[in-house]
Amino acid sequence: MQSTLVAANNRVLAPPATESRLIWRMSGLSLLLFIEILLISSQAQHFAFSGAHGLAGLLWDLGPWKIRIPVTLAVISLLFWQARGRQNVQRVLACPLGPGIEWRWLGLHAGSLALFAWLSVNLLNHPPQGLRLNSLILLCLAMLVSVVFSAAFAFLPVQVWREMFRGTSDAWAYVLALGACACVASVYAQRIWNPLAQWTLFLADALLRPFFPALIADPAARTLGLSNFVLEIAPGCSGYEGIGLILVFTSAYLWFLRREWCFPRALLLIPMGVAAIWLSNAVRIAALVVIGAKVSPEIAMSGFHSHAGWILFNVVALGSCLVARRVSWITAAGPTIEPSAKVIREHGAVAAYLMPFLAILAVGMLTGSVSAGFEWLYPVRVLAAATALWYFRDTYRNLNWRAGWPAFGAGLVVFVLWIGFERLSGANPSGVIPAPLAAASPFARMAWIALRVLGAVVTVPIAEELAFRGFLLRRLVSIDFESVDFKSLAWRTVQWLPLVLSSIAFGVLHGERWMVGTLAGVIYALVLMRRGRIGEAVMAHATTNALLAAWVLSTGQWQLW
Amino acid sequence: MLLTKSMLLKIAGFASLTLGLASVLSAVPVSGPEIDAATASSALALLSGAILVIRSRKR
Repeated sequence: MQSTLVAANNRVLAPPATESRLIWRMSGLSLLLFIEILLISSQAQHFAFSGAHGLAGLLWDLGPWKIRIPVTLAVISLLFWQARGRQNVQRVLACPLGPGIEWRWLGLHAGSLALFAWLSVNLLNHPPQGLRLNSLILLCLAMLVSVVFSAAFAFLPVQVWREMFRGTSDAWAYVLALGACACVASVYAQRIWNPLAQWTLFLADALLRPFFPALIADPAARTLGLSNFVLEIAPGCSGYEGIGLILVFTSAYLWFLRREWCFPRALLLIPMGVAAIWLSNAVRIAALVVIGAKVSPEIAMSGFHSHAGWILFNVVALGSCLVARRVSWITAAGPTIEPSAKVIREHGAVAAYLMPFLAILAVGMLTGSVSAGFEWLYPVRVLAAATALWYFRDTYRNLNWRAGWPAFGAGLVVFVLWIGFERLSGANPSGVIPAPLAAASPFARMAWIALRVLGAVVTVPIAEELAFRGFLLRRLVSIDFESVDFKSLAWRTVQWLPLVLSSIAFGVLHGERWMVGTLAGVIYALVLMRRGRIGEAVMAHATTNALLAAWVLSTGQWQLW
Repeated sequence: MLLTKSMLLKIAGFASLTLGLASVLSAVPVSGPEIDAATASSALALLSGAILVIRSRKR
């Protein structure tokens, strides 16, 4: 721990000279390819290949795999990067980046792109037949390879790419092998769905039968329920999704922290996690039947059904972590190191920065699971966040909560961007107040709206800024995040990778509005860096949310909430 | 010994990851999914944050 702290602190004091340039080049490359894909996708109709033979048919059959394979490879790459790549970042950074973009490669990229776009649009919108179709598809794929490689070499020299691949040594072989094995195995994995669904039905039946003798269970039709509410357990609901997630989670957790465990004993966590998640799925289905039959079919299907799976996954995953830490039989025996005062201070601070935000998320999942479309229990989120903020209030006294006028301006800019993106995305404004809220008494309606605004303007900005800017942004700079003064993140020494990554994480949390969410994250972080005060980011965030609340209430665009 | 403990552990980890990814990859859209993609970001953020808090506590 000590050596890591020293290394991290050195990084804070002397940031590598080429790191920000590398990030800018990588960001530019990603942005260019992203925009090009968007533009070409908007002009080409992929379904033209439906029912075709040869290469065209093969491309059509790939269908969802075109998304799944890159996502899988990205996840596995991250896993291996954690183990192999980080040690070699310095080697990559030591390579000369060159004065700027290589215009010759960019020219080749533009030419390849133009040919690829022309071929794609013509192939997909007016596909020829027979051998000509296959030849053109091959040419199109060759152009695609040229497009990607020429863009890559235009933004970063060949030497940098070579070092990146060398640095991760055999990790790329593992990534490709694991991705290929997973894709092949996924075809065979579907064979266990039916038996798994039957066992789930059997177990849920066994759980409910003692309490509900009139339970209706039909193993042939895979249905289970009571007279007024019957569920069909589809093969896709057999519990395999949870099993898959827990397998990935436990394997990754054991591997990342492999020095902490005693192997092979720690491997027991894998079957234990699988058994726990599968049993919990049977409990979820039993609970679904009870809620649907005895409480409300709407809550069962629109609230509980979509939230319970994630709640149980989190419970099992966190349970595995706790078991792994508590059971000494699993943990590797090592020398006891007396933690330094700095480390002890950090232990308490992590909870102080994260708990208000985690309270909002946890309570949101729980209240969502007992809601039927409209979240009447939103005020509980406000209460949970306020309780966590009050509990850790002593830690926050050391932070600078002052804010100036630029924070209001930044909040206004984010608000304008948010509304602009909403218009551009073509989202259909609801224009009417949600039916359950309209049907409530005037007092209940006003009380709910008041608490909703209070949450949006007070507790959410504080909790999110503490988590994303106060913790994550600084934690990405140094493991001892509290030692990173906000002022050290000032304009000239700004570390772009932490800024970009923490903003992307913030954006992703806003679902389909991830792009504007990421931009908002960047703006709030820049506002914070300007004066080194977290109060600036909180005020900017609160201003945006207050303006959005006013916009929702005045225009009736409730989808923004 | 042909297979060392380290190799066996790597094979076990590889197999576990393969099976897990295979299960996730084979997911098909159903009307009421067991794991709803719409709430994935919140759930994973909660899990990551909770792990950070748990790991920051002294044993």
